[in-house]
Amino acid sequence: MEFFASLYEWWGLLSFYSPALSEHLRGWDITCSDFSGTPWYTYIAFISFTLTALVYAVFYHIIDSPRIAKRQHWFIFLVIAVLLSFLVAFSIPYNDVQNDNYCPQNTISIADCIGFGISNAIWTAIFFTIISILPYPRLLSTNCRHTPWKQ
Amino acid sequence: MQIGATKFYIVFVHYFNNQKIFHCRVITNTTIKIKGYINKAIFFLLMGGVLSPNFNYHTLDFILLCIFEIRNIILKIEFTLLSTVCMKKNWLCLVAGSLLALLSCSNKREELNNLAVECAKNNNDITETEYKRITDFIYREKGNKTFKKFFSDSSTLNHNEIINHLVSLFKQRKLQISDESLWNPSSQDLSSSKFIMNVFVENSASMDGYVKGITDFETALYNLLGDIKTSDDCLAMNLNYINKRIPYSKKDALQDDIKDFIEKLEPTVFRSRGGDRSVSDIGDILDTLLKVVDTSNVVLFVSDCVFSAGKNKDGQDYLNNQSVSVKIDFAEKLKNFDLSVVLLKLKSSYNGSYYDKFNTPIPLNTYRPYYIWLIGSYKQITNLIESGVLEKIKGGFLNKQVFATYNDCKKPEFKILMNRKKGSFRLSNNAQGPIKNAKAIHEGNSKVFSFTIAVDFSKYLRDESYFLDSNIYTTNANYTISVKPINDKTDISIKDYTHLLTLTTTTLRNEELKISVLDILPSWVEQSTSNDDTNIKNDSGEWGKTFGLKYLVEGMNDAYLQKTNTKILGTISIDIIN
Repeated sequence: MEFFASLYEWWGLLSFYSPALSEHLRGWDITCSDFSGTPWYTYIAFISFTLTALVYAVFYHIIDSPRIAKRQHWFIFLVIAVLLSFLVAFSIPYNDVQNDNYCPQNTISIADCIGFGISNAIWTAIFFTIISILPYPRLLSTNCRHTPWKQ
Repeated sequence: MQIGATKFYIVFVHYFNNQKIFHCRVITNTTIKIKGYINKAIFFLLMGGVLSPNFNYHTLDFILLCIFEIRNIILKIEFTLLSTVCMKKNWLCLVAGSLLALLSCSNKREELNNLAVECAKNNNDITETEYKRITDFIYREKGNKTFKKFFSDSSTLNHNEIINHLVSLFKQRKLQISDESLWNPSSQDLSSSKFIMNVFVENSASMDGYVKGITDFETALYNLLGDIKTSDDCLAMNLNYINKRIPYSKKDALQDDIKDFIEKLEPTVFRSRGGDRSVSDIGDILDTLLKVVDTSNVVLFVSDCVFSAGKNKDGQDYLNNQSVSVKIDFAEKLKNFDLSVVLLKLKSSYNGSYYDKFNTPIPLNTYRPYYIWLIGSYKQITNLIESGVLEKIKGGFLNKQVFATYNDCKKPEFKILMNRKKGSFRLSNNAQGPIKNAKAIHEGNSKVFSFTIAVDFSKYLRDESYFLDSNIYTTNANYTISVKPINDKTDISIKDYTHLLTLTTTTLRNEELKISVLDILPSWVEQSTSNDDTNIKNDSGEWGKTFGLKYLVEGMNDAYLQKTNTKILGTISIDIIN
């Protein structure tokens, strides 16, 4: 959990959202007693990872068409992955805020939710790029193996 | 061979390979020569066993048994006066053995065992009184190492250990004492909150002023008794008058009896129902009441609690003596019973003769305080308080003080709040801390760090106002404390707590912060105490006071302090890491 928390909080170097949302995403429960609530950091990380991998698979292995083998097409898929991740990361805490499903001692704003969405989006972009650089399983693609960079 | 209550083995080894015992050098300067290594070994082993602090005859048996096993020696260890071997030597051996026995006579463990056996042989059972004799003996020997296992801490008896010891002892001594006939405090339904309420109204002469006509005193008492009688926990109610004795009793009172009792609260009835109404020996009365209190009986005592020192008595000495007497009585009761006391101060119209410290009657027509005591087990008193009957008393009460040992409340429940702070910090485990990454903020010229904790003081049975006094809190670090009650029960994060403590420091550092809540007498006790009531007629400041009250309450408080050995109600510990 702390691993994902550190990633999203950029090891304390960058702050896209408030500490109150950090506590909530770590699982600070609604009675403000301990971290027995939902560990959203971990869940959102895995959801984002899965979505990114899915988008990667769709581009490289499911569609795998010469008509979308150019770099700009890859970029479109990157944007799709980023947008999906942003939506996931934004909507989950936003939903809790709307339903007052968080420790009332904390103050979580919509700006915090947007900030967390942006943080998740950035990591998705990085992750998508990294897995696109790796030779495998990209080389298993028939038509897109050289997208976005020639192998 | 038995002499009195002490059984002892005398001498030993009379024949083994023709070795003989001669004399014994222990205390009498006679000498013993033991020939042969085997006998020497036996002798020293036995002496070591006898002189050890844990010596008992079981140890002796064990040592000899070992010797038997190892060497397969049949060793006769009984003294025979009629032995055919040299009578002179036996005579000396008797002396030696007697001295050895004398050493062991002082063994307290054996005394305890003998006491227990004596009690058991009485009626083939151990009654509550006999059990108390045994525990009294153990308590007196609490400094003795061999009795350490009978205490769970420095002053609390471990009844399980005592019972186990008794069971094992009776088995060894082949006494047929069944579990049912062995009185066991833990088998009593101590967890039960149901009780028989025993009401005692003091009917000394000074109480007449409270019952002339219809007064707030009567209304409040009637209301309270009615509420208690109709509660689920009250099995029955006994109504009594009390002064130097109990001159009137009505057992198992019904609602009509309570009504009749209240209606008959008049000076004429007080007088007619008799007893020695001339003095108020509150200490004696409390002693009588404490004897009534047990797991099934709660006492409700109503009195003006005015001490009567009497003519030609030094008031101060008298009050001090009364205080000590109260302390001793309560301390004695606390040894074997988880006693709790609620003391309520109320006020009522008073029209009658007030008796000052010299027992001089002074006509008075004003409002005067009186006191209601509830004395019972912790469970019973807790339930009575939580039922809200005290808050429903007509006219209400002015002050309340609760005395209890609070064995289970040494660490009150608390929660560190994430809001209401200055600076920042993280909680990495739970709301009990530790506080990590603590950072102060600049305020003026200093750096301030502050945080708030929600604390649950409800288990202490005290008025919430007691905990609002910041003087009852101390810390081991440089933190100031301010307190507020929690009134908003809609906030689910703090609805189970009673107070908010805000801790502030200008010297933030890594440390374990300890907040202690002190157990002190509330200020109203001192404020309600009169030291000289002789001028009460003209001094309106005395009308709301009670002569000697402080001494009475301090006596009780000292008894509890002696039991708990601490002035601290509870402690909260929080690790702070910056």
